[in-house]
Amino acid sequence: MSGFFAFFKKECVSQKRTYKWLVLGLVFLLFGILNPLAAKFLPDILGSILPGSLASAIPESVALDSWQQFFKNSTQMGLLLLAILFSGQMSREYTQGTLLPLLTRGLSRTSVVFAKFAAAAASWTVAYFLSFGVTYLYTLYFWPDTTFTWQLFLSVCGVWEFGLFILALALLGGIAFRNSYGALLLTGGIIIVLFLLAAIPAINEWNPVVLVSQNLGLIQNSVACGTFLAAGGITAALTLLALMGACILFKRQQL
Amino acid sequence: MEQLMEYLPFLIPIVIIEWALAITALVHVIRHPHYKFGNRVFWILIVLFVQVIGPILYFVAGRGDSE
Repeated sequence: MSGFFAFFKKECVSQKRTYKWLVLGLVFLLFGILNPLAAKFLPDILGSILPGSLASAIPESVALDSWQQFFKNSTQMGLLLLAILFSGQMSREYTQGTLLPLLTRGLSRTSVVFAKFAAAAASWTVAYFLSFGVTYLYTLYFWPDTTFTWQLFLSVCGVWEFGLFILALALLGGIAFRNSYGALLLTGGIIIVLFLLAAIPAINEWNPVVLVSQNLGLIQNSVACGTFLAAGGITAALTLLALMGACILFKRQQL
Repeated sequence: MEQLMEYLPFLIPIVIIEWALAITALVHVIRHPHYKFGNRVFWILIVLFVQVIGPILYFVAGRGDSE
């Protein structure tokens, strides 16, 4: 266990030195500010461009627009950035041979995998909830009648959990292919397959992509919470499976 | 003008974030002469003139490995 904490600490330092904290933190902060801003002023901007009769037909923006922007940005650009940033974390260790001295001194390989995942997950959690907090405060400022519902909370947690899933996949890919392109390819490939599977109605409810595609539906009550929880359970199981796969592969590898 | 004032509480933090990214990247470009591709002038231009995306691109893809 002490190996896990030592390596976790080393990972945090390495994330800071490779500017992951800076990029992730600032970009998600920027998203957090831009979401409510875009929602609030888009009707104004459109109104100033379009001729009068059309402009008056544009409805006033509501808090829901802000959440729409939030889920759009964090599930598209946000998750893409996350995958790109953390796809290289194993390949650096392989090319620079930095793991060898640690492993020969008794650091277990399971600790390496879990510490890497935990450190990446911690950064993602902080950045994502920072973005959510900023969006929430600005939304509250613009639309004071905004209420924090547990549907919103569930919806936000869904994207967060999907982010963890992506991190586990990137780690598995990085170990399986030993380079960052392989990690990205595996992550992207699995996500694409999941989105294709979403076309099959029978297993639709169990698909992890529900977590990043039905967010607005959940807030508007058009999607049942049970669906979300089921997809969440499956995603958690898949994340664990990916991590275990990564451990098994890594244990068999020669460095 | 009145509308601009309404935007200010948002524009100020956005501008600060954009410049924080650009300046951190610029300092890194100048102090570390090794890049995965491109040269110093190329990266200075990218980092300063492509807002947000430029510095991210540099930190993710352009930054050399030597620390």
